[in-house]
Amino acid sequence: MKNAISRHLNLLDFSLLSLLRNRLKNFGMFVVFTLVVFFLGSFQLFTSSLQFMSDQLLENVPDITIQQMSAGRQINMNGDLADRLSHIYGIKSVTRRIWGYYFDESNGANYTVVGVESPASSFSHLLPEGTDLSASRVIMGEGVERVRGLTGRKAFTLFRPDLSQQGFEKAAVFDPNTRSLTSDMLLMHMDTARSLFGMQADEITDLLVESGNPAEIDTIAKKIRAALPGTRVITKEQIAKTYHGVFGWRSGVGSIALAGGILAFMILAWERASGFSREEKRETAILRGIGFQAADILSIKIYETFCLSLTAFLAGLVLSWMHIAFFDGILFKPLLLGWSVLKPGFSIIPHVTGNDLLLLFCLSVVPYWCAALIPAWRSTLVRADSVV
Amino acid sequence: MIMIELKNVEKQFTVSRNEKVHILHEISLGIKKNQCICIEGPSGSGKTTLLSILGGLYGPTSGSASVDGVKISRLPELFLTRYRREKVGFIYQHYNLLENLTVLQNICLPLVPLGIHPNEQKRRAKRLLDRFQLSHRQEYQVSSISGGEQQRTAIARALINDPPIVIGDEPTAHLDAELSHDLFFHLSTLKAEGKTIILASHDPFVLNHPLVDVRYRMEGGRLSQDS
Repeated sequence: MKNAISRHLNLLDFSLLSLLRNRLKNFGMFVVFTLVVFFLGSFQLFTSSLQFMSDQLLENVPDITIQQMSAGRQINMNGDLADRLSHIYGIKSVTRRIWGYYFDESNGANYTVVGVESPASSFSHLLPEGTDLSASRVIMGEGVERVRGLTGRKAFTLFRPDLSQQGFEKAAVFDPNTRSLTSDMLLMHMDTARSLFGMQADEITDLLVESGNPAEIDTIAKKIRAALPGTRVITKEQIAKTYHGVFGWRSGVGSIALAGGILAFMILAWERASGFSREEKRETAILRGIGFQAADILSIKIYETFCLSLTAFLAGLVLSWMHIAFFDGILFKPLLLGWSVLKPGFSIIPHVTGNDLLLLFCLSVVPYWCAALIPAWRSTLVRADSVV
Repeated sequence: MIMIELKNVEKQFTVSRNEKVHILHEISLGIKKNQCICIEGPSGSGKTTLLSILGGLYGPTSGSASVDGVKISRLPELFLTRYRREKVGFIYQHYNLLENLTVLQNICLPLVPLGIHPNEQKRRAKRLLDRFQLSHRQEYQVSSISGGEQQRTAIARALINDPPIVIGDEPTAHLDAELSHDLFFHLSTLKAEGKTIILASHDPFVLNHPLVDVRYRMEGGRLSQDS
């Protein structure tokens, strides 16, 4: 047993030496392999991170959202409509909300303004304990804080529609870990939001409904449509489908492009690995002649393949992680997110699962092994007398 | 006592479906332990084929080849490799060194599949490097050393496993007179150590060297003992 281990350590050592001896050929392969894993990994990490972030967003989406419609467009609604839902069985709670967008012309940024009756609403889990939203106090996302330059101060103003100024006080900043949800958000009391948007008293933008039983959501939605004609009733599932649809077709386009890349890589790997040159054949015959067994030659070839593919896989993986974590997936962002000049910028939270790694491994390393295995086996068929 | 024995060895190679080339005809030969024999003959007469059978590179088409009582002509490839590894040091006509390895790495190569620790490999190689005056070249790539040094490297590689049989195919073919003398000095030492030496050559220097105990002549695939 000890001898077998020593033998394989020697063969591994020889394989590394062999990789170094043919460094030009192997470095070329290493670079191509690393690039394939990098692109594949970046794409996978990017879509996985988006999936993770959209799942995070969906966690905060209410079971049912109700909006008033007029001429096919959303308009403000009266908050009293909530009282007309009290008789529907299965509804756990109805919350009034103002949800709108504020364009900050001086910074070219678009903020999401959310007005709630109390912080203990659907955002309570994102807030520091004991946060007070009274008067003009605002909780903001880190993107807003950055764009407005509010790191060292608390007071700021925004313009109302009539161009009068409204003063605000920064009460807190959302946890950066929730930035996918809160980066561009200004959370304030509903009355403060109404004042900012110049809305009438009791006006809201939507009603949020929580059901007691998720299986009953569709039935409750149907009853709400009957009780509030002229409203749009959106379930959580419909929002989820929209999210997946938006990213789905884009990632599909990317997948097709990358599938072509993998195919080209496999062809290259096959070409490289099966290109059994005269010199390689001679070398194998010499090794056979001085006492290397066919299994030794196969081990050397397999170790070479493993060393090259695993180091390239790791290098590609690290690069793709850096691409997503530090460079925000700059190469794939235009494809997967679309193009926008609006700020605050969209920052990706890198997220990788065991399944992602397994998928990457299966799409890059396994095809390479398959492409290299048959030529490796063929090399063991070289006879010792070929050099005589 | 006979160490190596060939009986009615025939060797044919298949060139195409309908064509076979008959290289060796009815070769019978006995070589005693510690003997030095030389097979002479023109190119294409079958010398290298005979050495390849003795070296375990391949088996005969018919007949038998035995070494120390073991029929190597019937050994499966796995055991034939072990035979090559343990019993034979083969010095090829063109040395067959791996050119982009160093002298030291080339000499240590046969020890790699034996699982011998690299430190022990170096220790064994050091002895041979000293013996063949290659110590100053040990870290040189083989492609950058002279022909004589390459040949000494090939001999050192053949001896690193301390094999009882040393086979040399045209060992002086690429050497000048001085290097040929050097080679035979080393071969004499090996013989003095008890090794059996089998050479194939058509170089008169080799054929007439006093180290050679028995000369054979190979012509058209048939072997006869020289007078």
